[in-house]
Amino acid sequence: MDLALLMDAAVEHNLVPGEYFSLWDDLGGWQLDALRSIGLRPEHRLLDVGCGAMRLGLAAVEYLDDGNYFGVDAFAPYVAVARRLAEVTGVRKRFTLRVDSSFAFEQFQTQFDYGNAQSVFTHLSEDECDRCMSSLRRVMRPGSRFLFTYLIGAPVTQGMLYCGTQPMRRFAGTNPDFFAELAARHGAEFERLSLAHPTGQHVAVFKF
Amino acid sequence: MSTSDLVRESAHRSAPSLDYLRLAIPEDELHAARRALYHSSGAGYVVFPNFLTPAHVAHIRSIWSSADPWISHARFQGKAQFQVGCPNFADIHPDGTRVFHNFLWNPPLDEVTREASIFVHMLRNRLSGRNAFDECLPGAGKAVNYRVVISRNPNTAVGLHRDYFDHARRLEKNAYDPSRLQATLFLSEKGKDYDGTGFRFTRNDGAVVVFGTDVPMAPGDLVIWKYTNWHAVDPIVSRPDQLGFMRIIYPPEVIHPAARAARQPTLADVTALGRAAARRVRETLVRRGKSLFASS
Repeated sequence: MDLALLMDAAVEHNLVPGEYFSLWDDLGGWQLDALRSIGLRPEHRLLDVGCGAMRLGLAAVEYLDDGNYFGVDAFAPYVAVARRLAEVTGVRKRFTLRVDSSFAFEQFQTQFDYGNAQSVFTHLSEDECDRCMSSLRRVMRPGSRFLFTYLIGAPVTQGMLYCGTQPMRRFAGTNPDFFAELAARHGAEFERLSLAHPTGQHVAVFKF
Repeated sequence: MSTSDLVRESAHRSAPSLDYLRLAIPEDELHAARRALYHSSGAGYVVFPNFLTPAHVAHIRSIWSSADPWISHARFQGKAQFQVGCPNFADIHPDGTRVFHNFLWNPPLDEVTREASIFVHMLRNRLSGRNAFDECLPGAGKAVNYRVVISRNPNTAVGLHRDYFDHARRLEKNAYDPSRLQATLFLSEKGKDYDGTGFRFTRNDGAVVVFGTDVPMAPGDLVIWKYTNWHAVDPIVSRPDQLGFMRIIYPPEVIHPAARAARQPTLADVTALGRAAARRVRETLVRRGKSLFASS
């Protein structure tokens, strides 16, 4: 993706084009490759939690059958930029985007075969992880898989201002079994994957 | 309405509309400048004319061009000296070229410069989508150096380069970040304080401009510009009766962990040590004098 095009779309919506955009191809490409490696096919329905400006989404929409991509993000400027990028890059297939911070995935009124959360659980409290899983449990089909990245360990700075404006947390759990226990509490399985992540996060999948 | 209600309402109406969001500069007030900085149709820089008043400019020019640097600054020998808790540093050339490296954790040579610099850094941070006071201190490894530069000869030129645009190392933090901005607070006037070229910058559309020539600049004007665009400081010349090309720039420097060796002292430190030693000697002499009296 052309960096100038990304920067123009970002700043048109008053979003500063930083490293989120300069690593677009690296992280967007990695996410799609990772999902395909665990079985994602064009006929599957994909839920992208924390979709951002559709760094995975633009490539996923092209890969998936028409209407099979659903993205949700809590940061409204990202969703606005995503729509703009879809427009300027000539995306023709249908997709669905929502701005939401309450994990209300049922609003999509569909069930999903695959899910993705890149750098999302790294910004949730343990309670929010629980609420997210509760919602996922209701929308992920039996046999579905949810790919996610995470970090274990308490950072010194646990509260942050994303883009200088949006209050956000950093995950501060130190229990290495937290996500396995989280899965078990919600009737899912946890499996750590050996996929190398571009920025060094752990990679795992919930199986529903 | 009761008297207490009246008092409360009066206080509320007269209170200035200052709150956190207002002081942090609202996002919508930054949009136009961000478009100019980052959009492909923008210049890649924004000028804030008259950022400083003439009185502030005159004061800052006077202080930094005449102060004895060794009272407050240690000698600069390289960026490896930039460590946690390090002093401020000065690099003084025989021809009068002066470079001062200043960090916010040190008492300032000049409070006016320091205050103005905090606001410049804050504005730069907010325009680039950062927290207002990021990199004031080296919590994440970098801290702003409000570097006062008075160039007086062509040898102080800086070759053409761009910063924060190393694509090969893009997965390393800070190596490839198109949001990074630099700020230059101009304190001299071309044609009056110096001649030659000075700061040359490549706009987003590829056109090259020279500040002070193509872009009129007056002392006290602030320019915030895209760090990742090509830029250089081309040779300038100045006569002995001229100030030179004076500006303050704000590079976020890598700050190394403190070395085990003692902090390099400034003259002020040495003077303070000398005064403390002199006081101890005096007290000892007084004690001995008293005991002499007591024994007689």
